[in-house]
Amino acid sequence: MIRSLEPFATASSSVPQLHIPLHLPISFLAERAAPILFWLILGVWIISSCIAAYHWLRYHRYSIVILPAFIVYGIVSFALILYAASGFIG
Amino acid sequence: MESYLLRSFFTPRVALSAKISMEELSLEPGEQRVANIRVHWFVLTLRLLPYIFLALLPFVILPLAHFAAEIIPTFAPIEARLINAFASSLMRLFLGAWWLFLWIAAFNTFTLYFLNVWILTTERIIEVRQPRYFSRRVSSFFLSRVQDVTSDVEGFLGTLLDFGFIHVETAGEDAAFEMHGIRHPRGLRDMILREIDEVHRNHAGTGSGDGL
Repeated sequence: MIRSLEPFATASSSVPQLHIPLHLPISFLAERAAPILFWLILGVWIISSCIAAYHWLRYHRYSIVILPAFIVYGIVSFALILYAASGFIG
Repeated sequence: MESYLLRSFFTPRVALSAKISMEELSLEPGEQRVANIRVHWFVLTLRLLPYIFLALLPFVILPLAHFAAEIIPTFAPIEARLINAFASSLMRLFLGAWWLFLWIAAFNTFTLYFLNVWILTTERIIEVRQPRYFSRRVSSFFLSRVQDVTSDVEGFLGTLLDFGFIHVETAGEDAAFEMHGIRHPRGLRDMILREIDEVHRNHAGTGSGDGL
């Protein structure tokens, strides 16, 4: 009598099972979403850099800080963009 | 000597910066720039600190996961997944994006630090306030209208690094101008008072009422 009491019912084969993927496959991300994300990031960087450059050139074009600031900004940005690009190229 | 030291500290590039003020602010004939006043470098560092911490965050995730897995055994699969994720090439894209966004934000903070400035001239104080891009307010008040200049240095770090707050009260409707976190507020107050004294002396000599 006690043995017949099952604490949990096992899944019956007659019940239809839904196979919903709970996570996107990595290959899909790498092939489709990653380039889009990368170009999006690059777009944001270009717009942001243009706005910053406009303000520096408009209000501080004679400052001695402008050139070193933009050189450092450019070098670091370029390195980070290359690093991000290496995530889906090659 | 003290005046020379203060001026040389506040004005590293008189001729170059004068061009900036001449272009945007059109100084009066005979008016000369005395000092450019900006927020102390320590305040800039404090503003940049959140970006530095956020940039270091990815380096902390794995050790934290490892630590958590040692304490809570059920966390071990999550740690394994994290290790796999960090080993994947796709993670480089996310990390690169994360650091690039932080770098852009930090550079914008640095830019805004330079765009916010007080320019002390022989006739007036010009306040350029830019809390964000495309939002710039330039206002000025004549030294002859200044009624009170108050400087305030507070706290251990403020005293140690000599930064604080300056408050300039003027006659009229635009009653007060103030700037927080500036370097050498006492020296700046002395400089402003000296320029005011100079203005009053010049105007008394020429017989002008208020120098406007």
